[in-house]
Amino acid sequence: MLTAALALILAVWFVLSALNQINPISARLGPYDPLGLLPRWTFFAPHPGIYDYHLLYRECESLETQLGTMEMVEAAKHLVGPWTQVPAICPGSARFMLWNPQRRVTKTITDIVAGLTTLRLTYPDLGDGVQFTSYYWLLLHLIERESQRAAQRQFAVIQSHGFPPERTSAVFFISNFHPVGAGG
Amino acid sequence: MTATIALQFAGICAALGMVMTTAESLWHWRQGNFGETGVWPWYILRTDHSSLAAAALTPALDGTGLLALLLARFGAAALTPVFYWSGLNAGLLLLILILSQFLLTFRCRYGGEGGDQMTTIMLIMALVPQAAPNEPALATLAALFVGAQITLSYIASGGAKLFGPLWRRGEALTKIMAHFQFGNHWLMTQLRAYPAACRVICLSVIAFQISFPLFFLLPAPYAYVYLAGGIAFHVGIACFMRLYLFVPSFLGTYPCLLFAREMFRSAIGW
Repeated sequence: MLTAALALILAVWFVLSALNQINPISARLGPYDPLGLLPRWTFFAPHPGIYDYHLLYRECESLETQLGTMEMVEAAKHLVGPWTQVPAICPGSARFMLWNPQRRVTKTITDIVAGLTTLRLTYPDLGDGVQFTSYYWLLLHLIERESQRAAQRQFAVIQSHGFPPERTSAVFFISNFHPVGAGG
Repeated sequence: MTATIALQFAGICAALGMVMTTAESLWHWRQGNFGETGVWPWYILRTDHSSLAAAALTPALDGTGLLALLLARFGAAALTPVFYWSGLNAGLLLLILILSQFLLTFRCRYGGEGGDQMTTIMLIMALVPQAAPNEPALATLAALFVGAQITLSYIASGGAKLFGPLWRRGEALTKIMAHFQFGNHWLMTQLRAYPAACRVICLSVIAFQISFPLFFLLPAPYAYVYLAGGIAFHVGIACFMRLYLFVPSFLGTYPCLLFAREMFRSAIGW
């Protein structure tokens, strides 16, 4: 009896695991698998991860100036500072084969980027609706923690490929300005 | 090879992998990455779950509760091989590891890798003979399941590569090695200098993975070429990409794979 029950459970688990390798089915099964019991085995395929992702931000010290649109940003250009990279998220080439904990942090950004890409493909008209997702909140949180200074801050995710000096890069995502810091 | 021994090996390897990953988590704890200003703050991550489940699990997933969970996990992972080697029942330790794995997966869906998924499967299956030591049929099923999952992992990975233009053109490895975080400058330079070699390696990886079922059909010692290929593949990933969890988690399943092969061949009368 116990053997038959286990055989049935494992057979169902295996069939669901096999189905989880297929993209559209995997997207449907995901929400029902909060414990990660259904593996996804498509390592480095079909499109291997070839990009590093960098999180950057810039800020406008004035809280009075409205920066809701690109035109407003253009008009207040003289108040907006330079782009700065968030160092803790910066991809770094690990020296040690057996100690590379930073990979979890950079993989987090890669997972967020993958989530944003899926959102864009699923909801092409999402627009500013992306601001109501945990992907966006995490990125905003990561630039918020950089400084407690009251300001309006904007972030960007840049994707790069290759080692310096041959590295090429492109903007993957750029956010709106948000009030942050004390009083933000 | 018996199912129980194969699962013991899987349990020890999974536990060693967990020692490594939990040491990393404790390092992240010290860096403040699990805290309110860290990379994985619970106050944001909890929004992905129902408020009831998040509230119920908050004591274990935030603050000192999370530290206690990580320390318990580290202790259980370190003690598991000792228990196995001493002939003691490691069931309780495996249960702690499985529950902690569930809790941490629930807490954060970011930053995971394939090795984590295989580790979960290995731990659950390793628990079966510890929970029911007098039921060899259950251990057999558990070992077969691990063997089936590793076979599925290779076939799915190879099949997916067939849909990737970079893999089909034989350029994927050079591009992967040009990745700053996970790549390797020296290997990238070599592959760029010898593109034909890169093409051969890419196509060999695909051929190795999609033809993996031959491991069950070929007679020994030819079948063991697949095990050698798998070892080279995972050790290569660890060396060049610093993704070391793949070694204990995937190679730890190989005794179950051997057991599954023996069972398959005896079932069809080979």
